[in-house]
Amino acid sequence: MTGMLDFILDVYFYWVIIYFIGVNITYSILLVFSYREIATYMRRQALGDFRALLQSELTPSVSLLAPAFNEEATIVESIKSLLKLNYGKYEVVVINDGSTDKTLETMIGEFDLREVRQLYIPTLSARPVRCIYRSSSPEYGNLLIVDKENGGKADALNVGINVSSYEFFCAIDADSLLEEDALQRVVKPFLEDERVIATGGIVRIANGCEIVNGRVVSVGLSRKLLPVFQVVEYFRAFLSGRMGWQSSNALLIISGAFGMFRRRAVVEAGGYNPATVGEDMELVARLHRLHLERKIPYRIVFVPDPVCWTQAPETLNVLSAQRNRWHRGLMDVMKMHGVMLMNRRYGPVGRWAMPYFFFVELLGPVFEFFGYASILVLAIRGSLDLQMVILFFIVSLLYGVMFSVGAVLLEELSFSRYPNPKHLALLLAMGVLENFGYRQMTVWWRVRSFYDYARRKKDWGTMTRTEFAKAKSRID
Amino acid sequence: MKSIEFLLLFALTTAVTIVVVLLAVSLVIRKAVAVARTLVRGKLYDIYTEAAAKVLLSEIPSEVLSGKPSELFAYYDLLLQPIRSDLLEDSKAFLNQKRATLKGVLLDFSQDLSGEARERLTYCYYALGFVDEEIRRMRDRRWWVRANAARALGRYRARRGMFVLTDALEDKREEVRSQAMKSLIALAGPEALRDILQRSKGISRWHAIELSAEVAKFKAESVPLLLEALSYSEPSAVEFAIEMLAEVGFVDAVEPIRKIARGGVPANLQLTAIEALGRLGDTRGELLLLQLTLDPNVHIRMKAMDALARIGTPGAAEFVLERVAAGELPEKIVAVRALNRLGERGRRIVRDLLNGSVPQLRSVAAHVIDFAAPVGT
Amino acid sequence: MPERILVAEDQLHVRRLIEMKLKTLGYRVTTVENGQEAIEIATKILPDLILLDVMMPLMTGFEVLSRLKQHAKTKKIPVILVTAQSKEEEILHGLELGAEDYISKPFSPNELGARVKKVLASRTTKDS
Repeated sequence: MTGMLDFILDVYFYWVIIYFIGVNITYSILLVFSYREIATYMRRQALGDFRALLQSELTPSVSLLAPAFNEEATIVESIKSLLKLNYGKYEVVVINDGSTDKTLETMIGEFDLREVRQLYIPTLSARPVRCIYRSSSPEYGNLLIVDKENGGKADALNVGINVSSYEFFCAIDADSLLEEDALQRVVKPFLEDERVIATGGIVRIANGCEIVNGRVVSVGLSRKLLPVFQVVEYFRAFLSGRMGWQSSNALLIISGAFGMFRRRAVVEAGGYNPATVGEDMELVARLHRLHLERKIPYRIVFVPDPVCWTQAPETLNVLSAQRNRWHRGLMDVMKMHGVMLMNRRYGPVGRWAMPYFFFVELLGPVFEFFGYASILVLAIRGSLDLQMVILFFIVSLLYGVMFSVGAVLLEELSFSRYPNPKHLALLLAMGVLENFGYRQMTVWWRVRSFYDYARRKKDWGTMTRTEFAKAKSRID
Repeated sequence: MKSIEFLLLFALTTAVTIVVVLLAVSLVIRKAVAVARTLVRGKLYDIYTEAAAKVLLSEIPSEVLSGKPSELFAYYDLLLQPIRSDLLEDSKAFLNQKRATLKGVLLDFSQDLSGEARERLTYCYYALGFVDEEIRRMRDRRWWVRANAARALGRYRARRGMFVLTDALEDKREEVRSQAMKSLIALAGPEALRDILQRSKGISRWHAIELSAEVAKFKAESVPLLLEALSYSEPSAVEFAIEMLAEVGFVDAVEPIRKIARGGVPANLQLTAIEALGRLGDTRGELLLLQLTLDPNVHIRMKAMDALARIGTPGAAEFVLERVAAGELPEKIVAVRALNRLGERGRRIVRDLLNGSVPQLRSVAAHVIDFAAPVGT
Repeated sequence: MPERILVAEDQLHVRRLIEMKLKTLGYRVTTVENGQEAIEIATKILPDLILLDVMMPLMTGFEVLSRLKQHAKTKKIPVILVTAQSKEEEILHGLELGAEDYISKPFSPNELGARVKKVLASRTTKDS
């Protein structure tokens, strides 16, 4: 019997090592694709000129949708900075998702809001709308506030879509810090190609940056450890991950912090799904699925230009809650759209992207976790094959380091937003260091989220809401 | 596990690790070098800016300015002497960097100068060989080289480049076509529209936006070419022409546009034409628009109502009222909004609806009054 | 006593060009790169004329202009706006805020010199 256990564990080790090597190869391929895409993008960037876009009558109007829940401390500043974007015609729609604090009152006071008898057509079904407000001052003429019953972010976004009337809408978080020309950059792909239905922007970490009037004025790194780890992670995810997928039109995630969509396409797809915590990814997956099933030509594009900055969690509690939620969102997407998995009918999305997210992103932490667990078991039983263990650690370490370094490399070769060589060295060092504890923590959090998912944990965690608020009002 | 396999794997992973570490280190070094080089280039940029400004600003005696061109050019050459001799020194590698920096400086100036100083600048581009360099680059295999060359030729205002630019309108790469388009407009003004609208493989919305900036600058000159374009076969070119004519406000375009609005063309083209009739505001379009409010297609009906509201046709109120009664909610909203802009009679009707007996129409009327968004948003 | 001119412009080559042209014409020139510095230096040296670029990062020329006009020491200094866009609303806005004149890019250096001369001349006649 015990021999059986050893045998199983041995086989498991082989499997994990092969898995890691396989993942390495996948990452390398993604990295190469990303590099090519970014090189192309940078070259096109150098040629681009947004002057005409800012002045022309033909420039399309955009609705900026910002769901807000209990943001009384920061909502005014966020709205003011959103109103100052460098774009021709756009409206800012703030959806108050039944806040229990003074978010609504604060806005009414600050922006001179009055109720308007605007007709609300619930094209997408959502929780009831209580009232629609506009400002009495001409200076806030493009501000629209919608007060509704609480229903979660997806629900709030659906209300925003219902209320907005423009061809394109941009879904952001209320505390996203947008760059001045964010809208210009993210709308451009739609104008160049009629088939484009969604574009995602890159989200960068604002901790440690100097922020003036809601704009990032100079880029820096936080002095705290956690945000710096996340900077490297975001590079991995955005630059070397998403950019690579885009080349085969298989981009499965558009960050909830910043994404622009063609309103018609989203309405036809049914809007956001309030039944999932991963509403951003679920919508994109559904858009792929419907267009592929109905054989409608489409493209989903990623704009790697830094356009949006966000405050990253600085405490373990908030960070673990966030990762827990992301992973549960991923599980939802797999469950709802599992039909696409390895299904040739769904092109590169079914053949490559879905399997990647399933085996590497979703199950990866599980494999890794059981790797560590097996080592422990074997050690206790005294039948530890040291060579295997060493190999396991080396390979898993390599897998982390290579990808991180590659991602930082991509950033440096393209946007080079961190001008100080010291920062660069720090990021590289962190790319290595994160494999000695940080990564293991995220693995544990994600494995635990399976249990939470099974228990049908549907919310964002009310406890974490207050901590989100606390984390948000703190700037490094 | 066999020791040999293990050792092999171990060696492999170590090798990869070393490669990665070297990569990381070289990245940091490269960054530091780049920072240093930027400083050097910055200084070079400074020097060349001074030198170029001197060339551009030096006083030229008025007899020379109004004299023979050959004498003027000789004078320019004299001014360029210091820069030329500076470029002759140094090794080939540094020479490339110098030329690139000088080109950058001169390109930067191209945006900001006008008048005689600008003429001098154009002369510099030719005299220093930059124009010929770019023309050669237009045949490069790499698309970004071609695109950058096309852009430069426009910035230089180098008429010598017009042939290659016109050919580039049919380049297989979109970015090259786009730059060629812009440069041709910069060189030839609205006249370039003919070639652009006929030869480029379709005008995307992005192109339309860029071209519209040019048309806005040269409204009167653009009109004949836009009118011509109304009869082209490429729908996106026709759509662009319609939009621009409406934007410019050339009222006599109503006749040809009306033909397009009548139908028998792609749907979005017809809608654009209907909207244009509204924007042009000429009563010659009224009859057709009134007919179109009875069209089976709801989008066409809504566009027609919007257009009638923009023109302000008094008799339209009756037609529009029909749609208030018969249409679905979105159409009702468009109809009531149109009524609100159809003079006193229309506004009275809206007020009646506001106080009327149909709840749905009451809220539509309230919506329109409270949220009187401009037509055609 | 040659007049002193303050030039606020973020782009290096334009700054140099204007500086050189004005120096050739015999003025004393001080240059700054952004709006913040413009206000600080203007308050300190009290130039005879300010050439203000509209399109500057962080603080636009209009903001600088209105601040200068609010400050007792600087509000009498004539300002010429340098604008890249020739949109009517922009120009009117600038003139309403108190600018003496404007020059739009692309500009001819000779024209710039002439305008500067005119504004300075009208100021001395106003004072006398």
